[in-house]
Parts: sequence; structure tokens; C-alpha cells
Amino acid sequence: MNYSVTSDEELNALLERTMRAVSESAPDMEFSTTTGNQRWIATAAAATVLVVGVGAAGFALIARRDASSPPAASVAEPSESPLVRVDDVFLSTSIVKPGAVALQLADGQRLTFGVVGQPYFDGYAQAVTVQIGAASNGRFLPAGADVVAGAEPELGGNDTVVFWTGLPASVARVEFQPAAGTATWQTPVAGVAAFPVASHAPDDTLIAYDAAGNEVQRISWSAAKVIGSSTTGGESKVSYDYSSITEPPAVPEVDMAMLAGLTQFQEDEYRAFGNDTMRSCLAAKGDSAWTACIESTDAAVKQYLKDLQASRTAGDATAETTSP
Amino acid sequence: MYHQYRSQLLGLATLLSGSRAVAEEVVQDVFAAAIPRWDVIDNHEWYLKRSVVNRVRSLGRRATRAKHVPRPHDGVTGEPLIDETWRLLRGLPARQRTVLVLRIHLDLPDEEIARLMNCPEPTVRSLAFRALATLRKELT
Repeated sequence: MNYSVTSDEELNALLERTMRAVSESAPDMEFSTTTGNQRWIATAAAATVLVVGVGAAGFALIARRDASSPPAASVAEPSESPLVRVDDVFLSTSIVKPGAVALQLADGQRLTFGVVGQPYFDGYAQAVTVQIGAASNGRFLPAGADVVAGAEPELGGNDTVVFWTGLPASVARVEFQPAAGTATWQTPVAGVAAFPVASHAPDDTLIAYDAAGNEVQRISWSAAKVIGSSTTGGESKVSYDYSSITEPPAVPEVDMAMLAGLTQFQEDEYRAFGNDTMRSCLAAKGDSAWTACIESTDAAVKQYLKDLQASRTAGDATAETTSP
Repeated sequence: MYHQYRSQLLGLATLLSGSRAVAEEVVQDVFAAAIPRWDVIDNHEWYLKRSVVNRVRSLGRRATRAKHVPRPHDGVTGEPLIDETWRLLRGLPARQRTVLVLRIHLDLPDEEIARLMNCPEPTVRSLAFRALATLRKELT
């Protein structure tokens, strides 16, 4: 295609034109996916009923569960959600401290990679840390529930993965109880459970059980706290344990003054530059060089912004002298 | 009223789902659900659009997103640049495409998009960022 987008305004205009054209021409369009979609719609319609029923039963289960009773005794037994394989494509727009990358499982395991931590750029981290469960009080759950966005065939069409990492060895089963939808369960591997989900909500809950079916731990990331439970006389008591909550690894602060006046296109470019620089550094020096790469990337990014500002200033001066 | 809104809603549903077949089903479902409540709905256009967004979203949760393979008959407008851009849009993950459609086609603010998609507002920005970065890379 002999065309190149050179600015965010141009891209937005092109998208607007495209959407308008497609929208207006929709009645005459024909795609080849009709059969699959029709089958899918029928399945989805049937599944919707199932989702509502199982979801409601699942939450009743949470409220009434005696921790001494095995999860297998559930009124609505959750379905198994196999561990998924997640490629590092999730890191295409962010860099995460390697030490905080939680999962590196043995060969033969389906799950090969996961992310817990804070991306390199603070500006982008704000978006991601909300996704992974940062609380409004500034606490984080680096060893708790984590959400990584992306979409791979292994995820069955879902584009979000909920991770629970750092599970105790005693945990034999983890249940994911979404606020709306079907509860699923999983046998953790190497202390990790990973559920592919379509979306996540503040009320979603993950519950860990030992082999005997006793609840070991549960997480509700909206509260950004690990909820431990104990059982006395058959009655579950919930306690709050902040001991496992730690601060995420430090990342450089973005100098917002240096971003002033940048277009969205330029800002995206600068982030891409920073991430590429960081990724290249880590690839060349290894994960252990995280701190050194942070420093060198930070310096490179600052220089990049200075150069960008200098070129913009020069451009402004030229425009002033050449304008009528 | 069906004919008044159908074309518009079909276009929106097609943009969101990437499929006319799905869009047809969605629009029919939305009308079927709205008609009994028609008299008590304040803003019909807004209600229907929002219903389309929610309906596609709930269907999309259970969909298996096939990797898009370019095909000759993907062209829908006869204009190569538009068809190519549409092909790229269709290839985006559903949530990323939804954010762009809601932002650009419906001109909704991120706050409203977040409410429609049941996700935090920063997630909307994150999804948009990724989507635009992907498109920019492909179109540059």
C-alpha cells in the first residue's frame, strides 16, 4: 500500500473515514465467517443462561462455604480452566522488571511466562497497575492477583489473563469467581494459577484451597488486600493480612515538563523509543542488569526528549521567521 | 422505527464485531429487547447504541477470535486505503477495536467508554494506546 501515516491526527482522520465508510456500507458487506459466527451465536446464547446460573450459585457458595468442606461439594461445580501459555507479546508496550516476572516454569508446562510488577514507564504504569490491582491507597499486590492484557489463540479468544502467583505449596486448587460469569478452577503449577478471562471486575475473587478442600487464601483485588481465612468451630472468619503486600520496584519518574506540548503521536513515539531501548539493553546485558539498564535508558530517553524539544523549538523559530 | 435505526446500528455492530453476520443478529436481538420497553426509554438512539455495544461485548466474551487472514473479498468500500485500514482494524483484539470505535465513531469520552466496557478508565487509555500503536506501525 503506497501510503504512510505521519501524525496521530492523520491516523485518527483515516480511522474516522474508515469507520464511516464501513458503517455506511455494512448492509452490502459479505464476510466468509458466517457459518462460524452463527454457530458461535447459538452457543453464546445458550451459554449466557448457563453463565448467569452458575455465577449466581458461585457467589452463594462464597458466602456460605465452610472452609472445612471440599470445593468438590459445590452446588455448581466450576469447570476446569487449564493453564495457558502466554507469550511475551504482552510486553510489547511495556517493560517489566525481570525480577518481578514471576513465572518461568519447567519444560512441558503450558504456562511459560507471566508478569507481575510495574512497567518501566511511570506514565504507562499508571494504566497497567490499575489493571493489576493497585489500590487507591497506593498499595500493590505483587504476589497476588494480576491482569495482563493481550490476545493469543491459546487464550480461547479472551484477551485478559488473571494470574495468582506466589501461592503456597499447600495450595492444590484455585477457583476464579468472576463477578459475572462462570466460576472456573485450576490446579496451580509452581505456585501459579492463570485464568484466561474476557474481562475483569472489582468484585472478582480468587480462592485457594489445599488438597483437603480447606480454604487457604483468597484475593479480591479491588480491595488490594490479601484475605486470609481461619476456621473455628466450622465457622469461617475472614481476617485481613497486609504482610505480603510490598511496594513495586522503583522506576524513574517521568518528567512531565519534558512531555509538555508533545502530540499524542510524539508521546507514543517516545514511549516506544524508551521501551525499545530498555528491551535492547536487557537483551544485551541480561536480566540482572535491570538497574544499569534503567539508568542508561533513562538517560537516553531524557536526551531523546531534549532533542525533540530542540527540534520543535527550531521549527517554531523557523515558522515565526517565515510566516507573513 | 426499525428502519430508521437499523442501518446505523448495523454499521456500529459491524465495526464492533468485525462481522456483518454477527451484527445482523445483534441488531435483531437489541430491537427485540427494546420494543417492549419502547415507551419508557427516554433516548432511543442512545439506548439502542448502548445496547449494541453491550450485546457485542457479551457475545465477544465467548467468541474465539480467529487470526485474521487477508482475503480478496475483504474489500468493502472499493477504496484500497480504507479497505486496508478496515482489515487492520478487524485484526485488532476485540477490546482494542471496541475502544477505538467508541472513541472515534461514537465520539464517546473515555469515562463513558470505561463505564460501557466495565473497566477502569486507565484501561481504556491503555487499550487505545496499544491499538493506535499497532495501527500506526502497520500504516507507517
